[in-house]
Amino acid sequence: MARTELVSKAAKRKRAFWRTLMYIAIAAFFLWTTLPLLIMALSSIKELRDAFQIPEVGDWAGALKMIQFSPTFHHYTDLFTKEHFEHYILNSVIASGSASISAVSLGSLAAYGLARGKIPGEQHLSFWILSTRMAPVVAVMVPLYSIFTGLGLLEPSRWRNLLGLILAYTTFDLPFAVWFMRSFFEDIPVELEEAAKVDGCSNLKAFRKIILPLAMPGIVAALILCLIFSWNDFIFASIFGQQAAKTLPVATSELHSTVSIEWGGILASGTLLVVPMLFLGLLVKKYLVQGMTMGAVRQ
Amino acid sequence: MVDSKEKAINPQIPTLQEEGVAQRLFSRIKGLLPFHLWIMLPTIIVLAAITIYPFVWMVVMSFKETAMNPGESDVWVGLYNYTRLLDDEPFINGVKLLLWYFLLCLSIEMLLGTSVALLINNIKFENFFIIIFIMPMMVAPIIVGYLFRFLYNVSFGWGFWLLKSLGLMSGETILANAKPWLFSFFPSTAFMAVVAADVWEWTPLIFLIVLAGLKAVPQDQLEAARVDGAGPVRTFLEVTLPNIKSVLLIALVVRLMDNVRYIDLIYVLTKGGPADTTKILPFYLYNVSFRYFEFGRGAAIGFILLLFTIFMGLFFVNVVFKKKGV
Repeated sequence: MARTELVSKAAKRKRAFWRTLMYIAIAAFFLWTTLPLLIMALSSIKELRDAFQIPEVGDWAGALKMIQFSPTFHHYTDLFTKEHFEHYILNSVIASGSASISAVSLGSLAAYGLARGKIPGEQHLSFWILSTRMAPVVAVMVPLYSIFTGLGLLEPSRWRNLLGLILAYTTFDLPFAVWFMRSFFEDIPVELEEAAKVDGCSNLKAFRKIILPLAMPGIVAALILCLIFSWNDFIFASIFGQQAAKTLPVATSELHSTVSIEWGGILASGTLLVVPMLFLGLLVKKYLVQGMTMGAVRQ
Repeated sequence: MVDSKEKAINPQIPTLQEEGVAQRLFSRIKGLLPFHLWIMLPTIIVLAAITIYPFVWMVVMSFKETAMNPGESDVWVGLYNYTRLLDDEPFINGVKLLLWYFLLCLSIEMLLGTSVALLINNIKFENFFIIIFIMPMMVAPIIVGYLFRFLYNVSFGWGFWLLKSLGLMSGETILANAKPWLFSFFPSTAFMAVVAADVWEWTPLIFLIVLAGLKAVPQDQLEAARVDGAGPVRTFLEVTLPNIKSVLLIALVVRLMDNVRYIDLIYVLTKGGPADTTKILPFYLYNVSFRYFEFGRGAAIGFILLLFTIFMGLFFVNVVFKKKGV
């Protein structure tokens, strides 16, 4: 810190200039990130005529109109009274919940096996698992569509469609869960299970009693990330959910018909869809980087 | 009786005298595979069912022409589905646009994400900014689509108003505008609008990855640069950049693969229009498969896309994970 005293006035001024520029840049990015979300949330509690109110081009002071309105929640209540969104929310919860739980239960076993076992061709195995996750969604959908037709999963029945959707979500949740949790298991010292086995634990018991509790943060994070991925999915749900198992994103898109776009409903439903995910995202903030890079980068 | 050889290999197998026949059978089955393979088996079976079979189906299907009427059966056409792509105008257009999409999304996201990470790193309230900045990542892509569609609306969109007020827009529409924006060699204005939505949602990812990389830059190297009197630019180029190079590469590859994976944004914003100027290859594939229901042609295009991602995946694993010894 003694150095700063030696710095001349000119240099100080230069530094202040750069500092201000830096704050302006951060503020700009802050606005760019938050304003769209803010506009969505605000517009969803406005009467449409207020939501559609924007100032003349170049009228900067008029931008204050954005926050001058009397709030109404009828777009939200309409979703439930007129459109039966409770069904779609339930469908979304069932599909993404079951897919995430099954992906994490199967995945944690496989991740542990991959982390510990010395398996011939392990590299190929793990690459294969990774590649299933990276495959383009649309390319995967074509063959799945034909297979699901064969299995009768596309017939107009809610449970069949939901089962199809859960299977479809597993195609990306399961490989993700394996890759993500693997590094958590690798971090647990082998000595722990070896000690347990010396004490007479079987492999399975050592896994259940020693490893699982230690890997719990990773398992919970994997579950939450899987939930976010499948909850936010639209394309799979639009094809495999059919009409009988519409999820929240699909129901939202149906408020946009060929004749009109029901902006009130779309913005309200969008807010409903986003808010829980923002909270979940906050919970797994620490693991986001690891999750989105399949474990390649750690925070 | 258990023969001594087997007993020597797997001491856990109990003798007949100790256990019942059922249990002995169970032990024998258990002995077939090591424990670690047993617990991987469910995942391997499930993944095989939902990936290998579809993969084979896709390859076979890509050699067939899908029957359009009920009662007819698919016709074997050999490599026709592939060769016809060479003079399939929308396909070539789709590849071209996909390359543009990569170029624009990735360059903007990388530059912006890295800059923001550099600005945010170690400032006051860093955690608060991180929480705010990662919000767009959590938003369902389809909602991002609707949100931007709302903002781009010519009569009530705040985004359109802002662009107009700043003097950055000359045309009268955004999403229906097939004319290039700013530079004449650029893709259409509508295309740029899709890119902007993608940038809004995914710059935070790059930001977060790069920030993680910045935290891992050794403090003593930074300290040494400071003692040597290196300015911020030189410190960045000679200390920070070499240290975060691999992290930047990972960010790039991850985004590249996800860019091909999702089409939700285009589905909501433009449906490939106007005049096909936003019909990137994955969206064209969606149309071929689920609007025209030409599964054979769709399978061929899907296979090409898949080869691309497998190639990227191999690159990812070999370059990125090699040093970790995976």
